[in-house]
Amino acid sequence: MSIKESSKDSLKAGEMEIDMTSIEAAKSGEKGTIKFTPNAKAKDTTKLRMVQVVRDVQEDGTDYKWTGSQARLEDVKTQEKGKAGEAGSVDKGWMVDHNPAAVTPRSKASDPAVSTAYRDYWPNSSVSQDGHKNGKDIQHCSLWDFPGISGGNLTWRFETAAQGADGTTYGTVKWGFTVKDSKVINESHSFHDNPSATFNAAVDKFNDVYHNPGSPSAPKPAATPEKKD
Amino acid sequence: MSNHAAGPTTNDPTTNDPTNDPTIKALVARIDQDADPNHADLTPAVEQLGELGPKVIPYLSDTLNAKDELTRLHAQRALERALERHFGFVPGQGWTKPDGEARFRTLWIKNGNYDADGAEPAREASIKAWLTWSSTQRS
Repeated sequence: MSIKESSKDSLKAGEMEIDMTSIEAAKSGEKGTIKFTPNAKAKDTTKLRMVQVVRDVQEDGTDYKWTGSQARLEDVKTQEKGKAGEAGSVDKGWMVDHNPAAVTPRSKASDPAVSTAYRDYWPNSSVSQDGHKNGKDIQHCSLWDFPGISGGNLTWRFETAAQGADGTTYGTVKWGFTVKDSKVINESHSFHDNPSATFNAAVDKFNDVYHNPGSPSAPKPAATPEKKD
Repeated sequence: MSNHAAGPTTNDPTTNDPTNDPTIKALVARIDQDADPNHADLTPAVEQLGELGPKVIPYLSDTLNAKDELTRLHAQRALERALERHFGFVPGQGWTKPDGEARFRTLWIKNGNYDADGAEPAREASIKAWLTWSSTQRS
């Protein structure tokens, strides 16, 4: 089995495609690409990129615990909010898929923002790319991923969104699977126009932990001394 | 305290062997260990090799043609990470040079478009091209 599907005409701003191949070997998981191509009606953007959030659930229902160089992933996980299944509720344990070992939280206003974009950590340039749309000049965006494990059981749940330079979401795909006894089971996916409340909460948490501009914890610019005559 | 652990990561100038750095050799030996469950193509050694830049290329030739497909994928990622840095990629910020990714792609294709899943003759030709390119970077 694998996850291979296109949203075709079901999304307003373009076509989302997921092409993940299941691997059942020493390392079992799903390997492949997710791609979004904006249509003629989509809003123009200089950059179109994938942002992905993920939750890793162990066999006993608890979230996978990150340690060592990845320990900050624990800090960026969402907290449960509202009643599960209700509109606007937030599921716990979701985080922006990024490499915390490669970045540090901002400490001053002049520090560059820490990116949420997947390819700012793992460009995989021979198999994925950023996109754009400028009128009829359209280039798709994509990411390459390979979640997988050896010698254990784990469930992955993802929400992958194509986002423009101004943060506009063009489309998303929710997907997931389980590795149990080296077999890939329970594959699923669905396409959506808008990100879930959980996706947005994971991005907000990321921005707060990294003190990104616009977040409550962002460093304030140094006060300019008053002029004295 | 081990002298080896704190040793230099540059090649010994008294020899012509481009693969005599014990630190890089140790990283290559660990290239399959402790993979991240969200990214099975990545391990700590892959990232550390990438941080060292193109000088790691001669050390990767055997793993780029390893029998195990996952080992080859880890080696491919280490090679990519090393080149990305070379062309101005900064993790968390992306490409800091406007043409960095285009130059990466051009060189990747020129040197055989290495693919860990590809056929062995194509992999071997690409590895040879990378070793030739690497030797020009050291001189």
